[in-house]
Amino acid sequence: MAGIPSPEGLDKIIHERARLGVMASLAAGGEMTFNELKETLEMTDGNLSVHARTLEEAGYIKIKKRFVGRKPRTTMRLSAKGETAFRKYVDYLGRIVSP
Amino acid sequence: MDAKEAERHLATIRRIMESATQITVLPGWAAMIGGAMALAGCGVTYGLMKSMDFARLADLEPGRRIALISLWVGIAVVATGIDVVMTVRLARKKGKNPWSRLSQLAAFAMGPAIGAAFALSLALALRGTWDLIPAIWMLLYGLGVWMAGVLSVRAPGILGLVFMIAGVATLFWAGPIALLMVAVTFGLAHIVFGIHLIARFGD
Repeated sequence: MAGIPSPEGLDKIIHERARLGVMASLAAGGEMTFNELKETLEMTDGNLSVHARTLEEAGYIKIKKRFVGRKPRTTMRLSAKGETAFRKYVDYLGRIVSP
Repeated sequence: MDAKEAERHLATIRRIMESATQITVLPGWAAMIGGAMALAGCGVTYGLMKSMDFARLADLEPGRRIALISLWVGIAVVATGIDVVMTVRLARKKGKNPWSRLSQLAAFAMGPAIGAAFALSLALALRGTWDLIPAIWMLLYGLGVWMAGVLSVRAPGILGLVFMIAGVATLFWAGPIALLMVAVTFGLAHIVFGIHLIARFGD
């Protein structure tokens, strides 16, 4: 079993499928709007909002709300903490696949 | 979690990351305007050289040669300027950062290729070897676009490949019709690319 990481090392916040999708999208796409994320991940408004809030509370993403003209626009991006956590999560999976 | 589940998660991450890069800020109109300018430039060049072969530049009187070089430098500068302005405009319209990490990586992919094309063109021009310059631009511009395309949707990668194939063809076989190859690549291919972007992404 040497080399296989322990389950304690798994980041449970990222491990949830929808939140993993948000993290992976932001890792690849940089700053994305709420609608772009919704389209990419095929999620509902409510579902995305809930998971985005969880990630924001964990300090993994930064959410910015502003107005463009008269329309509200919400954008999200990974924080430095989020980038590190995502990289660690992917490394963790990699060590399970190739111990 | 076992290895199979971890593999499934990694596959999901890869798929999602690819999808996220599909949302892009490539201005189709800028590509079309650049293509139209290149076609006009080809028309003027043919009018002055009376030939499709850039080797004929050596026979032109210096004034005409400088006029043609200035024309192409001007087209490159104006087309790049239009592209930058329209990219920024489109990014703002979509609520994206115009100088995002993806844009930076694309610029880093294009920059060295364009710099190398300028340096090689200058060296060849100083030696009076004009005929190789169009092929070098097709090859290096194509390489830059292809590299930038690795980070974006599929279309820039295909455009880059078209330029590189045309560059190799011009280098070895199509030198006598290099101006036609320039018209097909920098002109028509950019226009087709722009139409595709507008049809696919709406801008």
